[in-house]
Amino acid sequence: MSPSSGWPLLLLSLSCTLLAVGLLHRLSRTVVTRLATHLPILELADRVIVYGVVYTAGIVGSIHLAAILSALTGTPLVQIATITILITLACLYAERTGPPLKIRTSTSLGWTLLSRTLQQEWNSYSPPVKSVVLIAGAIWSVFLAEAITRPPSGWDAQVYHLPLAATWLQRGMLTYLEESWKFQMPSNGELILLLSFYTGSDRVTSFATLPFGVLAVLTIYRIAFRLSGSGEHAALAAIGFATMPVILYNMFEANLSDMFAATFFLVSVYLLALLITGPLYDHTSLITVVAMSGIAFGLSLGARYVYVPLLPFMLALSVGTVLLRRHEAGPVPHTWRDTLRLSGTFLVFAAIPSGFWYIRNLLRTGNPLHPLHFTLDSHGLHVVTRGLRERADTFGAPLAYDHTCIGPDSSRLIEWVLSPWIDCWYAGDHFSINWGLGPVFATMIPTIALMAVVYTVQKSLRERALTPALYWIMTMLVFLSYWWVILFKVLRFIIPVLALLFVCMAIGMGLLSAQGKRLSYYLLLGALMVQAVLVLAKPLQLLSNRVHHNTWSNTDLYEVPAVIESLPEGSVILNASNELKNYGLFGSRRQNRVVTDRALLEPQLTTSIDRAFIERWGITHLYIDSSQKWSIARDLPCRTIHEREIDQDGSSEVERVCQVEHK
Amino acid sequence: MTSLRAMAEWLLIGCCAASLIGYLFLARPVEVYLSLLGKLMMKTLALAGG
Repeated sequence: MSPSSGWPLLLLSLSCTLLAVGLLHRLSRTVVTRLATHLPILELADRVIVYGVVYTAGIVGSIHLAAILSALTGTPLVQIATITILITLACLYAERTGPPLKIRTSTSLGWTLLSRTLQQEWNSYSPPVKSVVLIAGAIWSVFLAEAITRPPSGWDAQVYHLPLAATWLQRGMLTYLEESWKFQMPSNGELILLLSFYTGSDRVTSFATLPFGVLAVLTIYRIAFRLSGSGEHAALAAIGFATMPVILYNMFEANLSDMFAATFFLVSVYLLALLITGPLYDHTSLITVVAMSGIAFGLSLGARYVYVPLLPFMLALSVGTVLLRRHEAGPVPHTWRDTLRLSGTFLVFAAIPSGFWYIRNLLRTGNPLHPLHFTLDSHGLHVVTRGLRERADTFGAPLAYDHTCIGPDSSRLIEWVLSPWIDCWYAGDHFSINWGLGPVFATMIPTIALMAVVYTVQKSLRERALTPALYWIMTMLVFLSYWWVILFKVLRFIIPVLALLFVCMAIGMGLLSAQGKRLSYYLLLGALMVQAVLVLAKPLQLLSNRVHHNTWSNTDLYEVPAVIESLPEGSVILNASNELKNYGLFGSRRQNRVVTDRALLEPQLTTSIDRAFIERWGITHLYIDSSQKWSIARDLPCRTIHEREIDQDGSSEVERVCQVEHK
Repeated sequence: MTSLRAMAEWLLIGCCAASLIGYLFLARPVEVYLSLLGKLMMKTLALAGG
């Protein structure tokens, strides 16, 4: 069942999706209520965080299961109907193995508690903090308005995240796409895009990242609250993070993987942190906490390879946090066996939502971490991707990198030390999913947050005690060091570090006198006002352009010709133009199949698209433009059905859609 | 001790303020996005004026 199959099926698909989402809510709440008897999650916010983990694991798990059944039977079972049936079975199992719950009563109690908690929080805030909350609300409102008036967008999203999910939707299987290594990495994030596709509305997909962003903000609030003991400081930390330009773009674009993975990493570490200071629990409770934390980390592992090297660190934390309890809450664990059981539990539960991708890659390529390859020599460990040929100049000249702005290859420390004040990215318009620290970061982090880090480390060294604050600072420093030494230096890979820096700001504010606190609130308010002006310019301009030119359709936004909406059923389009048009060519109902530009990088293909290539990929239509090096081979008749002049990066080019005439 | 702490606090707040001012003078987005906002306002005014 695909949403592109007409109105009756679209309605059925939407109904099934709503049913699946509703049942998953019921299942998650049941699980959280039962876990609450074991877990130290006594407060509402903590229950919501665990609910988020269980709910997401439910989505990911049911789709993985459908994909396994699909692979075993050779039938396209990754459909919303199968997913709904699997979730229903899980619900029935949960109902049979425990006492039934009175859903309506509990839900209404939950909402009453939530609204009362929010009301109390708001009343306790001082005027500058209330102003900060209102400005943050205004920033989010504009970004929401901009996102709701367009289909899902974003460079990475349009190039490969959305095309991958759309292909899975069409085929009913989590197909392993040969076109590019970009389609072959762990893809839990794309499963959320797939689920949103079943609703049949592009606007839902535009907001697919948002729930995970909200969960991240809530987690930061809870961490900051536990460490600073102040609702105001926690709120400022959460808002400081949520209004950073780079975070706003990661939340409102369909480039889901980074925010998704970062959120569950933070949740995983947060759950383990509960063990350090929580009350005394029995062994089952400890194992339950570690298992939940493992699932959260597994969701990250299944979305980004970035988190794989952090696995040993997380295993150490899963044992270390329990060992730390010895001084305060009782002796657990005593033996090596207990220690192994804890780390083993973490590992097994982390494998549940992530193992699918690693096993698939192992079976397909013999390398679970495909396309990453590791080489060790006298200079250290190197990570390479086989797909590096994709970064050749096929898709335009490389962007000039003059070291005035930060780029992914910036390795000079001084550039990074000054980056909060220069605040620019070498490509594009500075604020994007790749960059944008903002004035709030520049005002508060190098000063108050840094002071908190120095103070906490110094205090812990003096007292020779590992405090909860030091636990978080240590996590942040481990992540930062690893990113600096090994990773491609893109800011969105260290979203958890950015979050924890704002937590440090909250700790730092707690160390100030009453007058110092008040002054710091006003400074943050001033910086946020500047940030609002800067960060709102782009979405306001996009909205204004849409209103002015009356351009609301998918073909307008993706700049693809309208003819692609009316191609015959079963059309397969080859994108031999800009990679950014990969997703747009699927059509607004995702009715076309698309062979992305990456297929053109076959070594045997030089500059000419020939008949053998067309037949190998089953292509029926070509989308080509004169700025690219590709031409159509002479023995390949292609009837032009659309041709027009377009503006491509400032120069005038001719775009063309033609229908291949098969022999 | 108290006055030393108060001085350190003032210094810290001063650094925060200086950092914000530094951002306004050095950051590239200030120029880029203010000019974008300026163009937007001009366009809106032109539309309002018919």
